[in-house]
Amino acid sequence: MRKGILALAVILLAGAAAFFITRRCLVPSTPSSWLCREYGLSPSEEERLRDLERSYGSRCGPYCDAMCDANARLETIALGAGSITPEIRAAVLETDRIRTETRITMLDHFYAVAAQLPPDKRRNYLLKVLPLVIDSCGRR
Amino acid sequence: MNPDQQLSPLLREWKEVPEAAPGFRREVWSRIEGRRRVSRAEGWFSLLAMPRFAAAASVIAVFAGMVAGNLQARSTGEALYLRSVDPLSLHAHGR
Repeated sequence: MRKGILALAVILLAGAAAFFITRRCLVPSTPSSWLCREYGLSPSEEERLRDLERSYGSRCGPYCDAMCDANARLETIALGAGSITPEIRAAVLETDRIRTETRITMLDHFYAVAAQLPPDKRRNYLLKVLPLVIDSCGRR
Repeated sequence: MNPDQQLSPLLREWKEVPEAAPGFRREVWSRIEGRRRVSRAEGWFSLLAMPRFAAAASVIAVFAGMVAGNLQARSTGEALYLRSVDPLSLHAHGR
């Protein structure tokens, strides 16, 4: 019985070690390396993806700042008012405008990335990323 | 007269059958079941003590661990990627 318990402990330890080692080796170091591994891209395609990511980062970054500024402005105005004023309305519209611009930039980037993937995998990629831009509440 | 021959007339004379205590039958069965459970567990452990079964179980455990690790790494990678391309969520979480 004691030998069996020892064997069970060793077996469980081996399984746990296999889990942690595999996970450690396969967790991607960068987000794009996951994309390359998942969709089987070559190093040259990976380089093109990195360029796309850099360009996307430089286009999207300003929107983040603009969104924070617009939200801060809206918060200040909303705290000082007791009802909906034309100023609040304009501030809400401004946050929505920035959000819309961001979503269009995101969609543009997703199409650019999808174009780098093998044709049969593009739809799968879009199915993963589109929910970030479009929330259809599962009604598609 | 051997002891068996002495016992038979005694048993024939014995008329009084004592009443079983309440829950006697349940108690007996629960003890039988308990023993059965223990022997089943002992059976598994004794199986694992055999080198051939232990080796097979180790191979299965390592394989299952690798599959689970792979799945976990893929889902972590996907979450990492989705977070990296989503400025709206970065914004929602206070950047």
